[in-house]
Amino acid sequence: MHSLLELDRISKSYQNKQALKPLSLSIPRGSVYGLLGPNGAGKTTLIRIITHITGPDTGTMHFDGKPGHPNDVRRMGYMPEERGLYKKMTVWDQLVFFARLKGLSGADAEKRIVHWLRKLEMVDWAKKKVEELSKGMAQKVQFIATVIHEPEFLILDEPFSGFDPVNADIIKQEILELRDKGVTILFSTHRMESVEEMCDAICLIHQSEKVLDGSIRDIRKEFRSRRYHVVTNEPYQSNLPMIETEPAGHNNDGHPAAYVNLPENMNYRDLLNDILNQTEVIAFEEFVPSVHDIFVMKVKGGLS
Amino acid sequence: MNPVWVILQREYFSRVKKKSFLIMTVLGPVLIGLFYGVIGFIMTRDTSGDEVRVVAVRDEAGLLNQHLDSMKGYRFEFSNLPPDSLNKALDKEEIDAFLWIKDRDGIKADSVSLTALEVPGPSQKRDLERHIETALYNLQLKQAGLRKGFLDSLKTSASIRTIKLGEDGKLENTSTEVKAGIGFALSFIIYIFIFMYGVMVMRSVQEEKTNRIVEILASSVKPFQLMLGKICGIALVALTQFAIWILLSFLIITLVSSGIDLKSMAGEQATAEGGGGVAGAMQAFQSLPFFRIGALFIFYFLGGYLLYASFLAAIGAAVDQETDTQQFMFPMTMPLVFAMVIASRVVFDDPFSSTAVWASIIPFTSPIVMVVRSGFDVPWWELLLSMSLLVLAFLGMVWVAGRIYRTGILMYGKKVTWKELAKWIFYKG
Repeated sequence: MHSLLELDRISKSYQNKQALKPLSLSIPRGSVYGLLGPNGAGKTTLIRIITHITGPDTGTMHFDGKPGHPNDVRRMGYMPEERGLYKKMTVWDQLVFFARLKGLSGADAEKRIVHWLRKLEMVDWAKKKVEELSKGMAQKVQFIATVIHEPEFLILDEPFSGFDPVNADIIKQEILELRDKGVTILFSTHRMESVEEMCDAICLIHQSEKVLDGSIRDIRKEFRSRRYHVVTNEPYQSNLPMIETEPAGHNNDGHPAAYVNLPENMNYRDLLNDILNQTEVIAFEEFVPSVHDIFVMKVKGGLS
Repeated sequence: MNPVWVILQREYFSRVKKKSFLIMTVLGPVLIGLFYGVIGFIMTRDTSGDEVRVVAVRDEAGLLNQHLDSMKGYRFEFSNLPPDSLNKALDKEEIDAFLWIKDRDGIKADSVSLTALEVPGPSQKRDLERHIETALYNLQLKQAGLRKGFLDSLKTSASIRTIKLGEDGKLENTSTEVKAGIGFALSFIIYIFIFMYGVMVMRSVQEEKTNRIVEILASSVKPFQLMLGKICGIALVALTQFAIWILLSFLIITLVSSGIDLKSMAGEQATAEGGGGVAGAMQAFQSLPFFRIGALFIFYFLGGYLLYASFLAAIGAAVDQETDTQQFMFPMTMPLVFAMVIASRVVFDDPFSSTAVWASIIPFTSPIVMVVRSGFDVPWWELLLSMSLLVLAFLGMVWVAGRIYRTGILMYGKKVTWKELAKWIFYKG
């Protein structure tokens, strides 16, 4: 499985401000990829380069194994953070317009629009002007406009901002369904927790620079805390000097709890065995750092 | 399908399908007609109305022999009262004005004075002066012993009929008035349309920018294609409007001329008056080179529109809000208004004067000025030069606008200056 998108030392400056320092990343085909970082980190610049809205100052880009070409955008679907639709146009005309812009024939466009309107239960709204729609409705229209040409690569900038929980969930389900069909998805967001569970791989950017990238599993492995929360039948205090234990009161059932920090040369089996030698285990859990925690760790580490 | 075409279609149909388009297309000519009707009515209306002002005349010099005919708006009464008491009478509003002719040495500004509560306007003053001059002239001729009948026979009217000698040696009845009138009307339409449709382009660009649609569009089409599709789509709307108007006026003319037997009327009058009057104008109208005028009109409209609309598209892309467009509108308004002023001079003065010629060659004014002259026989080299310069100018402008547009359309929250715009032109892609 080769990468769908491959960026090699892409950089971009505007006048006197460097928006993106040379950055390389690789998005595996069929993956859900998170482009994460605070506002102003350079995410939108990167996306604009990927979608050929602007060109990079340096670096190369490969899409589907071939050097990037403006026509590649026909195989991409891009939903910008700032959503925009023609207010005076009907939902139907609007979708036909966007679909044809992506190279669909009129007949194809109509067939797919009907399909999507049915799927998102919006058939009755087809002849309404966008200005008559609620915000959530308009966002659904926006989503349809993004995926109408069945792109292989979906780029969603802050996909869930502005959606109410119900609609956000509907859109999330649709995105997952597309993923299952093999569509590669790029999420860009500053709210890292919102996409963490869906991402296979991520890239963290901070101040125009890549901080970290790779698959979530690898990153988690690298940043595992080696800190465990243990609930036992009897209070647990390790006899081994290298295992630090701190009592942590009792859980709801009145069982004693403790935090355990494990040294590098031991794994969780060693810890489990040690506990089992003393008492029964009721709960055993490793603290998993969230992407946000990792980001903070990394940024602080980088600064110090 | 080419995305320019998709954009063009959207721009076109979203406008033509609107009810307001149909209403404006039908009502537009009516409104323009009404506008000119009202202007014409105001200009020709007897401004003094039925009111007759009484003017006391104190003729110290005895020039007028105690008689001056009444004229439009004025009645004259001779009086020997001293100036002071006449001023008092004026003050009490017993009379409306007081004309004082002081001495016989000709009628000079300082020898004749008019005192009034309401000082006459320039044209009233001119009428008064002419009235007095004529009275004096007639009086002196009479005193020289000439009879009135002889005087009347001296009055002739010299109305020149213009005949054009065609290249094939054929003589054609022409009418400079009709030519100039048609030319002026057409150039006025171009003036209005460049404004109306140019601003429409600007608004449309702004809508996409402020609604952030452009970010989605920019990921599907190149900004230049977007701009081009938009400008061409709106140009088609304008052409559609013209087409409907031509069709409508053709229909109306056919209807009217089937009602009146134009041919026989024209024939009678032509023999009677030698081609003057309404029928003569009609004849001159029919002899106009319609195809040439029409082709020039379409060419110059499109050329001028492309020139100004692409500039406005760039402005629309550069600024964040419509209120910020004002400072950039000025350089487009100025040459157009200037062209309109020259155009009206052309109509009343010489269509071949050097100002007219140059203004019809320079691209920023040529779309208006050349169209005024289109009815006359403009030398082919002037036409060729003017047309090629216009084409070069709009190509250049479209290029420049495309550069500004490309950068501006994705730029938010920045106060744009001329210097900034100039920089954008030379940004690398």
